[in-house]
Amino acid sequence: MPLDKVVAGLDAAVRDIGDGAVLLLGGFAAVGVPSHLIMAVLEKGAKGLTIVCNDCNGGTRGDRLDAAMLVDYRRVRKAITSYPVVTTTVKSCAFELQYRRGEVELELTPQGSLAERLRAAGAGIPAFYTPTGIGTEFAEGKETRVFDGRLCVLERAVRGDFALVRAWKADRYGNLVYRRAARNFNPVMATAARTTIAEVDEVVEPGELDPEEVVTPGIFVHRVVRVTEADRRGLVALGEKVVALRRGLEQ
Amino acid sequence: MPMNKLVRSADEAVADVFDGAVIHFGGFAARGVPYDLIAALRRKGTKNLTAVCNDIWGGWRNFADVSILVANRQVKKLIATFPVPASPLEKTPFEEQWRAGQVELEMVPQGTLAERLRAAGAGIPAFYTPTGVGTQFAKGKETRVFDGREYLLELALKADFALVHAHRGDRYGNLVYNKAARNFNPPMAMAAKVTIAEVDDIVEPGELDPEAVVTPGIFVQRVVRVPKKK
Repeated sequence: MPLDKVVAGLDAAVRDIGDGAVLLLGGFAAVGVPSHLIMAVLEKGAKGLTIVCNDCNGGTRGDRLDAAMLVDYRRVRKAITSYPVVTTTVKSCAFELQYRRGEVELELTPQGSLAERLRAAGAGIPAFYTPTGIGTEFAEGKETRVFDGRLCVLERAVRGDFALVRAWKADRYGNLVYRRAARNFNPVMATAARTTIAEVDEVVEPGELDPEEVVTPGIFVHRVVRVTEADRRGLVALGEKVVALRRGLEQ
Repeated sequence: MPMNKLVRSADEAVADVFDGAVIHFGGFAARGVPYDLIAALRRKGTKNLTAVCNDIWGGWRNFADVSILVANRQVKKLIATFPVPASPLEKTPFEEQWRAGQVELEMVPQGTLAERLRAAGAGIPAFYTPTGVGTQFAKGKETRVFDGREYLLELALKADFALVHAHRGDRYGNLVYNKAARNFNPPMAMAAKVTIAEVDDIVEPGELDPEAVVTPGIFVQRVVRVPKKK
């Protein structure tokens, strides 16, 4: 039987994501976010999740349908992230409120270090040194060491049970290409989990993607799901609820 | 003045390589080797070099790799994965010099070599890897246990110059590679103070699909067009 990683739909894609799972979630702000897969995880009901993501604050306007949705619905126990809160001080987000009440744990990680921790996990590297964070709170509690006269912190790899990534096109072997800035964290996350699930706009036949252009070789990918019009409508409907939920917080 | 990293010849490209320099040489066996830049270095005669490369294959047809610099006694130290050919019947200048104590050798497992280069390019001074534990590669290196498994501490490998071969480049220094000729060239291109790329073809900025660029121009200082090798 020829290799075919395409699954029938979103529910099939997230069928074994259960309570307590560590999820790597692609995306940077509004771009390259696997929103439909996140919607499916929400619908499945998994809770006590650890999420690893660039940001989980829902955006300054509160309209981003991203990792923050899992926080909004209280499915998250811990976040390993660079931007847990919105960048404006005049409003807060669900994460901040839960954090202040001690309901969610935070491992704040500098953005480059987060990318490198994921990349290390995918490359079989358990730990590495970086100068980022020295002299700041980020270095507290971490080992430091001098290399070439420069102090560095020891950072550990971050591995996930599942990586939910957003790509542009996939072939049936799981080879992925990305579109512009929507690439961001998706490639490193795709290498760093036991099971990688990709949501894409388009599925093509093997051979249609130029090998020189493949960014994520299919060996890293387990499931591919094409986003349908029905999925998009479902996300819009969910989005209305999420935005209302977030507005409710402000009152 | 618009950015222009193009230089007119391989000789011009390597004009400031100095005695004692540490140089990365791209390539894997016969492919992706910067043959013209190496020939220019041979002509220049720069000495006491530390050469970093995957292998000393010997060359291909009329084109010679780092082995030509070793034969010409320009190399003081070699950092490589395959310092000698796979056949024990072939005696090379490198082996003779090494046995006579005239050249130093640091042998590095292939994956570790790639990772040491990549770390240097990414600003990571050191990392842990399981490769080499329990073998001669572990001698003299620190070990540490993470999650019940032993690892070696390896250091980043930076160079003064990286000589790489690419398929196409533009004058901003953006590079794409051709199939297996990619190999060590991208990590080496990031891991040196001065990266010099020889390319089969020069294209105008904008002609390379940005999604397909493998080495962003920011890592490259000089680009020189060289004849295609068939």
